[in-house]
Amino acid sequence: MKRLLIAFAFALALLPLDAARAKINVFACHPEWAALAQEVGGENLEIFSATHAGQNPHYIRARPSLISKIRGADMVICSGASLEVGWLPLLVQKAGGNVQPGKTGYLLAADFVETLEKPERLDRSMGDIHPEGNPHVQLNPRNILAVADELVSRLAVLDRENAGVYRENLRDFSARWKKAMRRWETQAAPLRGKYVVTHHQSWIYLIDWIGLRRAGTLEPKPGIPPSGSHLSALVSEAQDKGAFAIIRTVYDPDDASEWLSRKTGIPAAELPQTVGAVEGTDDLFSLFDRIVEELRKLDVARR
Amino acid sequence: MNRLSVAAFAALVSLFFTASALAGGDAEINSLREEIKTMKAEYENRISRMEDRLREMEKKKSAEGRLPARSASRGLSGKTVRDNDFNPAVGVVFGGRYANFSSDDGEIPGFPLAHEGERGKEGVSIGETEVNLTANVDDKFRGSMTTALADHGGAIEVELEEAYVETLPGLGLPAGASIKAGRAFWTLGYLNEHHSHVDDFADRPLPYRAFLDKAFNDDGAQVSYVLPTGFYVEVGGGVFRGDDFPFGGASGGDIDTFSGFARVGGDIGRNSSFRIGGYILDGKASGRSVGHGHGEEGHAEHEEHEEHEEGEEEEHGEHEEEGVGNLELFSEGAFTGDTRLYIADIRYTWAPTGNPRQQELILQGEYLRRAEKGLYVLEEGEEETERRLNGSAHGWYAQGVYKFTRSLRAGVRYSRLHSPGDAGAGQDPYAIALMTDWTNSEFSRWRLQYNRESFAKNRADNQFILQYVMSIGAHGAHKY
Repeated sequence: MKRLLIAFAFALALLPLDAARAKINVFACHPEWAALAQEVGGENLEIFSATHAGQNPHYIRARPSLISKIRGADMVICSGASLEVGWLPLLVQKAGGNVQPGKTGYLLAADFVETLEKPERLDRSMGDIHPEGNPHVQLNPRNILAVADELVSRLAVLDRENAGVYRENLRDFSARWKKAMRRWETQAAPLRGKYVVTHHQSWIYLIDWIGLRRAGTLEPKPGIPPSGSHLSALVSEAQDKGAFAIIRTVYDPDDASEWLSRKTGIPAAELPQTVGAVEGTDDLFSLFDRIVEELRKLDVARR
Repeated sequence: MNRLSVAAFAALVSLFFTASALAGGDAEINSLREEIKTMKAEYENRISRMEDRLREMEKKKSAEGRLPARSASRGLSGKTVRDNDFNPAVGVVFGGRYANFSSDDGEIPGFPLAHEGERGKEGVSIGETEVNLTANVDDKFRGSMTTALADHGGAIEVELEEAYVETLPGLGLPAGASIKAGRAFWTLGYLNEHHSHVDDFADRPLPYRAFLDKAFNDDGAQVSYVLPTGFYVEVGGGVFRGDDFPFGGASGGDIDTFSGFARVGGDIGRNSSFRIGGYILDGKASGRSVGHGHGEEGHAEHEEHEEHEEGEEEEHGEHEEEGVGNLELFSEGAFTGDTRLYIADIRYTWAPTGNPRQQELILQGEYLRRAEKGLYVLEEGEEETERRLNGSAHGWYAQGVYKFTRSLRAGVRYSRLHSPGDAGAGQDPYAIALMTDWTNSEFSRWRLQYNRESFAKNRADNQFILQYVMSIGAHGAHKY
């Protein structure tokens, strides 16, 4: 009994620590959302990214460290569309009442953009499909803008005192982002209508934005690893369509894309799918700078 | 709307003034004009203030309620809401197996097992088929039910594994706190919380079979709280009916079965994480049946026997305080007395580059200690004996599972029981398990396992188990 009391007193002693924290704690599921929060929130936010760029966001364990982080979060920002379905629901059970689905502190990016590739038929034999559409929405800069808008309106409610600061940051970010977008779109214009092969269906939003076309994916079905027969079929398809690159994220295994590259002579490349995936992509601007630059290089090399 | 009515009001007011002004002179007209002007300005001021407030409120509201508004607009495409749209998520887990044992005897000397703790069925069987229903009850509670259907000697037995309600954060408990009530696999060690289909091996390790009868899922309630610390600390405790193994025969309104736990965890670098916990379960058993006689039957036999207690005790007095080790000859019986269980667990995972999908090492171990004080009523054939007992027994297991490709894993497990004193078997019971499994997706897995169980000197049971675990329908995320 005495021991219990001591434990209780100990727990109480820790409580004020929690209350004394002035900054808004943001739990971002992925580095791109952490980076976006950094853009619009700056020093008013304490941002934690649950995953790093080298991790496949589909398969994360609901580790104890993540539970303790989400427990103190005032806001969660994730991709949604079931990308985090294997781990986020478990974490959210231990989060606060305002950090629950439908509440101000729970923001899923896919709910505020037009999702692509919504499956017409739901059946697990189709592979790892997402009923809400493809969840890798961060790869279209227009989506980033839409999410930034929503994020700021949520932050303004959560942290009324600094609402003006967030709005001001958003205005500034939007202006710079729109300018950058025009630049990227001009740079990527020559790529329009050209074919690429991708590993997973992670790149559809980028493809859609630039106006690329997909000659096929290395995975026969989402989440199902490339098989020999499927890859053989891809060889002629990629060649017929004249694909200029085979692209994968930094966490995709490289064997399949390298194999296809050897067979077809089409260069295989690792593109950063999020902030920090390769060196020199420390924020959202440099991320898209790099993606567009890499694609252009691949295209020029192929011509 | 606002602006319209105000404009109409202003128009009316000006009409009135115009009419009366016809009678007055220029000065009066001017003063009236002035008056109207000031009134107008005042109203415009008020209107603009009200509009500001309205805008502010709308903004707030849209930020708060953006999600539902959004989904509603999505529903415009003609989604019809049917009666069963609120049905709970349904999932079924199939677990079939083939087992081959070299020995006919699966009993552990000194550790009389109950129903679920016994070694599985030999031959082809469908094992357990789990059906799970889960849904949020409302904004404050969630409910979940899991039943397991198993074939026992030709009859299909339905076991209610879990039927609980738990609080959602919407209830307004302090952040990190939750309460679960009903029947559930309570927080007690690592494996107990998990359904057996999640296990890395086809069977539970020896200490779980001997001390928990596979798992503790009594009726009761449990509260848990994640502390607001920088690293993970969770504490909690529960009260239970005291009917499930290692207790039994609970009756009346007394609540005398309690549990408590505390565990910590965290990451080590980018690739590894761990969790360590300590647990305690304390209660009274009145007629906990072990061996082949189960449930009410065992209980009844025990009570019948109590009449002879005095005479018997004298006869067997010499056995008192010698520990469970003397139970080796007996395979059936019942225990009445105090039981306390201490459990410690540790789990460590290592996934290079932080991607458990491709490669992962899981190390896990648990230590269980059972302290008992009470009376065993044992029977072997026609013979019945009583043993007074005040002692403890303990056991542990350690296992490692390595995933070397996306779909292939291999693992090894060693488990051991220690009985105090001489168990008469010449050695402590131990078991070694080797397994390899193939995982096609999160929803299907095939496993081949070899067990070597040695419970007495010069006695070994070689077992081969081929097992599949597959799930259809909704399947919740798995805990760490």
